[in-house]
Amino acid sequence: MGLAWIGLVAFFAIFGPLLASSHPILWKTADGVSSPMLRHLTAADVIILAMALVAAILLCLRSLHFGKRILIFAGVGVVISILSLILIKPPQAIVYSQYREALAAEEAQWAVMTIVPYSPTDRFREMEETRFLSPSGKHWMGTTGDGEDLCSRMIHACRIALAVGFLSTGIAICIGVIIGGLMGYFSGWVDLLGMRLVEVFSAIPTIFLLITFVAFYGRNLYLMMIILGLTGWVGYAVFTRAEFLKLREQDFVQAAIACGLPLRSVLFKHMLPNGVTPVLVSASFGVAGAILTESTLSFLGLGLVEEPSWGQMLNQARGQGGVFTWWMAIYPGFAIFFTVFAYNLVGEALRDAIDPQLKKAAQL
Amino acid sequence: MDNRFGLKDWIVCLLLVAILITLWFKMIQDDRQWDKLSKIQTTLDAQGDEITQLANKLASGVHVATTTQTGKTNVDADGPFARILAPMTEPDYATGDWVIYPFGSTVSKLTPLISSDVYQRVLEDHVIESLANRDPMTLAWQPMLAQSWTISDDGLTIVFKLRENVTFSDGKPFTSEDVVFSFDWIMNPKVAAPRDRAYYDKVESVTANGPYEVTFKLKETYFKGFDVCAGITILAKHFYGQFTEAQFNESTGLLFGTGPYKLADNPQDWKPGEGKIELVRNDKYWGVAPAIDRIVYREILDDNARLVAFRNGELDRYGPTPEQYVALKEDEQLLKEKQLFEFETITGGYRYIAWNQMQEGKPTIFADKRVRQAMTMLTNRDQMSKNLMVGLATPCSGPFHRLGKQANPDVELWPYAPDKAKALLKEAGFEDRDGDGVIESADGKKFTFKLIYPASSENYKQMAFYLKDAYARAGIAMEPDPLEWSIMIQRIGQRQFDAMTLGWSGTIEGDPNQIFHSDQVADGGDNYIHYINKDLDKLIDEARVTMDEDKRMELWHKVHAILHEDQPYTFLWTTKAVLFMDNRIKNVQRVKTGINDVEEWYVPRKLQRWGL
Repeated sequence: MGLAWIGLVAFFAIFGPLLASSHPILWKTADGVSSPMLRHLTAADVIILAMALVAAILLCLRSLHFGKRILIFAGVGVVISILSLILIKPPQAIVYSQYREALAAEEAQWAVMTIVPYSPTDRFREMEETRFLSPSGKHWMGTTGDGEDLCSRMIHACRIALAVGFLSTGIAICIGVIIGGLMGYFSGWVDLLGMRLVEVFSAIPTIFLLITFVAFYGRNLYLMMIILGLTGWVGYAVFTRAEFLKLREQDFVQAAIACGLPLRSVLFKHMLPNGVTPVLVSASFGVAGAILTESTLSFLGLGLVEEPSWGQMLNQARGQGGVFTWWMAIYPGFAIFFTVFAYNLVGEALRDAIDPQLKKAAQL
Repeated sequence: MDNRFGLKDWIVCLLLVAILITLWFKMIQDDRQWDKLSKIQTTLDAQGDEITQLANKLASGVHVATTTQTGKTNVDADGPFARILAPMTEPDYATGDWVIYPFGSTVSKLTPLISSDVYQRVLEDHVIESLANRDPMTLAWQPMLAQSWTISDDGLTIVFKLRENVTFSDGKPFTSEDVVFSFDWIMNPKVAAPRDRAYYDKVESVTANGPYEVTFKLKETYFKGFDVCAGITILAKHFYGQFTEAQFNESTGLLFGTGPYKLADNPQDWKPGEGKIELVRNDKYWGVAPAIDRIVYREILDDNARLVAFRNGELDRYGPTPEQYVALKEDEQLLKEKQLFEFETITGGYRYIAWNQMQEGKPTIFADKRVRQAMTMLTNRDQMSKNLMVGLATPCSGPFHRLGKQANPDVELWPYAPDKAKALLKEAGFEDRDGDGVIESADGKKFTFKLIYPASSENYKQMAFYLKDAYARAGIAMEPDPLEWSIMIQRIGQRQFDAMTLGWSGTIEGDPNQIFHSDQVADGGDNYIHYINKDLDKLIDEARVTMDEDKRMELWHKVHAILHEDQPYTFLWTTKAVLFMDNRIKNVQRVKTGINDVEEWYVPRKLQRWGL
């Protein structure tokens, strides 16, 4: 069930722009049939969509070796990213209401809209008042305090939630595994030094650090991810160190060293695959933690400015007129809750599946 | 060994019980004493009421006789205290009770001159008096600490005759020494008061002729010369003189003066961060004592928390945000318990968007007058004030309030005209050359900019989003960039922004020199948009030394017209203030500058809630 929910969120994250957009998929104007939606896709949209496509194709090609598939995926990813960053220049000044106005004035004959026909930052400027409308047939989840469609924002917020979760955890794992691995393998004074470093980093209050950074360097999602990654590696380092301390005495590692393999090979090819399981388990909890942190920051009003985020929507639910708008609280609140819950479920499932001790206990 | 309950333990237990019983009796005794005391208090209060009423009668009826006899009383019916005396004849007039105000941020410094806090000003107004103040209804200057004054014909010498029986809140008399000390202290370069020092730069010297006469000499004619001199913050020499400059600069709570209220704490002991600041009535006040015993300022940072506290009756005054106002206006229960004030004053100020014309030594896109005009015409101020300010705002055309005499009645608002604006932009060389929806200049510079605004305000955020959508229609890509207040101030000081939106508060007769004169472009000045217009400079300089009011107004009108044509700012709107006050407070009135002072309010005995 956890996986199903994460799958749904990931689906929204990838196909968000195709699901909820004020730009028609296709429409016919005096200039002929065109697709404003494709034209307004950003570089990030294209990269994510293309990567999803490549991933799907690679999953189908079962004959290829796993490592090769990863390599192809990464290679294609880099090429696509560079190409789309250079080539794709969507319009910056967007007037969402132009489509509705054109249709109303019959300048356009017909238009095929997306399922939710509103963009997350479409504030319906041609209409009188669209702030805090309760859910209706037109706006399935109501509208926000700025008059945007909540449903559309919910869909687009999935991407930010997932991006923060995966990227910050990814950074944390990279650092954690390398430092932890070195500590565990060399032990001695490297270990001693490393553990002090771990102690120093585990004493940093992440939320306060983030708030300070936002105050001084402005709002930047990438900076936020990096800080979360840079402060969150401590747990992974400790896990990896413990595993490596255990593994380095074992015969296959001794054999690898005796064969004269380079350190890199011993560490990452022989030891890491055997010691990475606890890291992966705690990573799924880490993702949940990162999503929660981002929501907290957005709730405090220190998140992104215009782009949607669940925490920010929750913040708006507090209401400016002292009025409680339930739809602004329930939908984002449950989205955060379910996502964090799902990751925790997945984490537990992973642990159950991987941990041999527990497996034995289950069989008894 | 067994742990038996022996004789010793019995004795200990008995002793403990005995102590508890004595404590209990003591509490009962205290309780009875308390009852007695409160009874005495109520009788005393009742007697106090009778005495005030007697005094009122005396003041209204036998008044003339007393003044002629002594000739020295401060309680003259048409003096500065007329407005405080007026409600005393009401049958339900009573002294006592507290008024509780909310503060939207924490106040870190109460010391005058060195604090740049708006809220500090509010406190200072009750504690420190100046030589003269403006009558709240006529806005004419009326004597306070000064009894009378004479101004020389060239306006350069002002002689104040001081009142003779004024005392500070510790009972020490106020003399001309204190006025001279105040001026010297402000001009002392070691005191961290650069803003005030710049203001008093116009004053050449302050000298005392005898204990009750002071002469101010100005360096040059300045239309606000009298305002500057009469409004000087009076610092007690015997109090402030005991500190060194460094001690003064580092102090937090040195608020002390002749006013009707004083700090509840000893000024030297006051520390910020208590969550509230209390002023108590100055028992040694030289004038007419106000009715309210105590003014409490509670620091509540969250908008909604403030509203809840007000609803629960924990606050007596509340200024809602526009959204809250819409909801509260419908709330019948609330309207029954509170009085509502809606008013617009000249001092209310205006909101604007400032276009920075120079950044890092290079002119920006906004250096072109046509671009700025176009930006104004793209801003639909009518609709914005209707939607975002729920009709509490009126679009304005310049820095002078339309209710004041300075505003030029012939200046007409720039209309909302997107097509005209687009034509102007095209004329200035901006059009979409590469088909990406954003207009660019001939050399390919895209018309994109960031608008900075304070992050804490929901209203500014909505405004920024609104502007973004409006400018997008003309192919201008604007990015909202909310900043923390301190960072924003820093960025403005360093002139590192494309455009920003904020508000200026107003004065009765504004001096545009501070904001629009090219002298103020240099470091620290408030002309942070690098706006230079030599004609305007000349007009401002001329108006500043014109003492004749009609002639000066004519010059201000010209200034207004030039500013309107140049649009260094897009002037957005002036706003109506909305204020809820608790019903139990009586004699709350509208005056020219807003709401009358706490000193004029009272709470009938039956309705009193605090400090009983």
